[in-house]
Amino acid sequence: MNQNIFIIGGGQTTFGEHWGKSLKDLMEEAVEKALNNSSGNVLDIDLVIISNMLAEQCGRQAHLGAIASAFFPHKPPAFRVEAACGSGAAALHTACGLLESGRYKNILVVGAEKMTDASNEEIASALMGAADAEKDAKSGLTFPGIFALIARRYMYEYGLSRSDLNYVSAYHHEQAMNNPYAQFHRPIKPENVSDSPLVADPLHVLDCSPISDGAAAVLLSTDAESEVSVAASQLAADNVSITERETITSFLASREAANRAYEEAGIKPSNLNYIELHDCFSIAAVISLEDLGLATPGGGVEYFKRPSNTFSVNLSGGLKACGHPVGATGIKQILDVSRQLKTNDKEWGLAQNFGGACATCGVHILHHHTESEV
Amino acid sequence: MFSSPAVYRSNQQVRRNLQAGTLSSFTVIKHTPADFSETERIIGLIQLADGRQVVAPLDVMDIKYITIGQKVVPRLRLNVVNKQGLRVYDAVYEVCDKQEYNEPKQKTLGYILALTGPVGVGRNSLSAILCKILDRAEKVVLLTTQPGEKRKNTKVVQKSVFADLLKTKNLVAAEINGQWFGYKKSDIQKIWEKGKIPVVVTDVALLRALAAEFGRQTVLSFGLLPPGNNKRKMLSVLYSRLSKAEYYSEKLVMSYVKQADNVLKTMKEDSSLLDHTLVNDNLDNLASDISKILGQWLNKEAV
Repeated sequence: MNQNIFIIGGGQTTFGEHWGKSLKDLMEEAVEKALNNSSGNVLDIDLVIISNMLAEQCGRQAHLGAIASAFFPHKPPAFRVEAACGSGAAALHTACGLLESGRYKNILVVGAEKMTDASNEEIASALMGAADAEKDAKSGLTFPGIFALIARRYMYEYGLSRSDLNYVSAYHHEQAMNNPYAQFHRPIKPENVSDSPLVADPLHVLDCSPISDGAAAVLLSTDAESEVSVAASQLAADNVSITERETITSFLASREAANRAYEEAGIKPSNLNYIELHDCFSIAAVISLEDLGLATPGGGVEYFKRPSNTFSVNLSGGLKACGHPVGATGIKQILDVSRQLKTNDKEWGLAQNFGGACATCGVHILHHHTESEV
Repeated sequence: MFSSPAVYRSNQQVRRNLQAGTLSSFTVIKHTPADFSETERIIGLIQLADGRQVVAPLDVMDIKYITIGQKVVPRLRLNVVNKQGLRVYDAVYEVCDKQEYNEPKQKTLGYILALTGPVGVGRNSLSAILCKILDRAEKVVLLTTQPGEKRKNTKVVQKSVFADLLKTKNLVAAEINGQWFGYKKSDIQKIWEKGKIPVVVTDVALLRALAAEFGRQTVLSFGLLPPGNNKRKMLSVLYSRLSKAEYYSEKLVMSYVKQADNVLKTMKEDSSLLDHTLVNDNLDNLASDISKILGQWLNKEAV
């Protein structure tokens, strides 16, 4: 980074089914919370970036930038960024670039999604917009189906068993018990996962992140300082359709974004203390851990069976148990990484957020400046 | 997803995917999206012979019968009918059991239009109407050893003659209840050379033989069912129709109705051999439906 970008405020709603709240209500709630615990002045916000995927399809609401801008007395310029489930990381990356340019000094990034107003069929169809709509969708494929193809291939190449994969969701539900913002506060046993109904063989209901409503907001600044700064912001892309990839058991965009982020921050994977990774499906968590350089190929599941002492993963409950309001997830991850680093006085954290079957992946590395540095 | 322009684009592209391939992965989708009629669908990720990969439906009964690495062979199948009534075709893939996929033995010039179903369902009557209304359709002469067969375009030959013809390898044939039925390959070729589409009437065994000989993708097959919401009613309709035909003895009628029971069962079990299954409760309407489908098929070929 050629500027010091600090996280000077943040806030989120709980994730879950919020039938009484509209998308605008959720956005406003997250913004209010972010401003309440911010050291900055609301009038210093000179740009608002919204992260959202489904508002147009499911809520017939476009032009979210203008909606958000109206929350502020001075109506700052605002626009939306979209990269499917990776919208949050893309919005953050956009904000970082604009802050580095010097054109803006204080940018509020708001991620929000309202998914439970639409029917399951509508949502399933809308989410397939994250894949190749003309190439993949016409065969009847769904997003769980895409990751089921990935999971089966992974099981074939590495010998991963169904019973081992169960540990991933069980781990996430256990972690979410301590997260007041999480959608689910219910522990599950590993065997509950493969006992749950099949969605797309071999993936069951409890392998899949839920449909959620929620919002999160983070205030980034080059003007004011805080304990946590953004040490790296990288975005990478791959072919949208899995039919156009050399392998489906590792995600190129994830590896590239992570490697560039490590280089930008000047650290190695072994320096990381805390990671929020994108576990849209259980197999995605396994593959992401490997792609981030934190496990060997084929060995990603081991962390979820026996968590490491040297780093922590998805203590929020991840997408599976905390919830996955698509546009909000990437922002919420940044808040969780920042929170965990400060609470536990750790130095380095990473957030990995991707869209589709990792056709777009954003990796952000946060640096917690310890007291001796400040 | 299936807007009319998207359907047009999809049907333009689909023939590129009619290649053999290898199964890289597969899944059962338990809740298909709203546009699809079935609630479940088996889908595979397939590495095609030309190096490309596709995701496509698999034509298998159950995924416990398939494994990654198996060879698959393609055929065209009706995928979805959109809200405007446009038909979306897709390549579906069947798993080759133990044999390698072979290119068709014959050099094919076009399609074979096959009408499949039990005797008495109206295959011959339908083929006559189709050949009248479609300039490009021409009926192929059926050779059979079944004594008492007096239908038009059917030639009864002795078993010894049929056996000799089989030895020449110019015959595609199947044995059904002790009698042989078949078509000369040269007759089919001659019709193709005229720029026309050969029309054949078959039961499932003969259809299978034609698909094996010429390639599954060459055969456009219509399964015909008698009207009736259960098998007993269907067989009653067949008995009634066959009895009215002057050229069948009572003994032959009973024999055909007994065969029909098996034919209906086989049509259900081997449904993958049938591109479309239609009920014949009105010959003219049925002929019109079939000619429309054929028109769409041929328009895709013209691209």
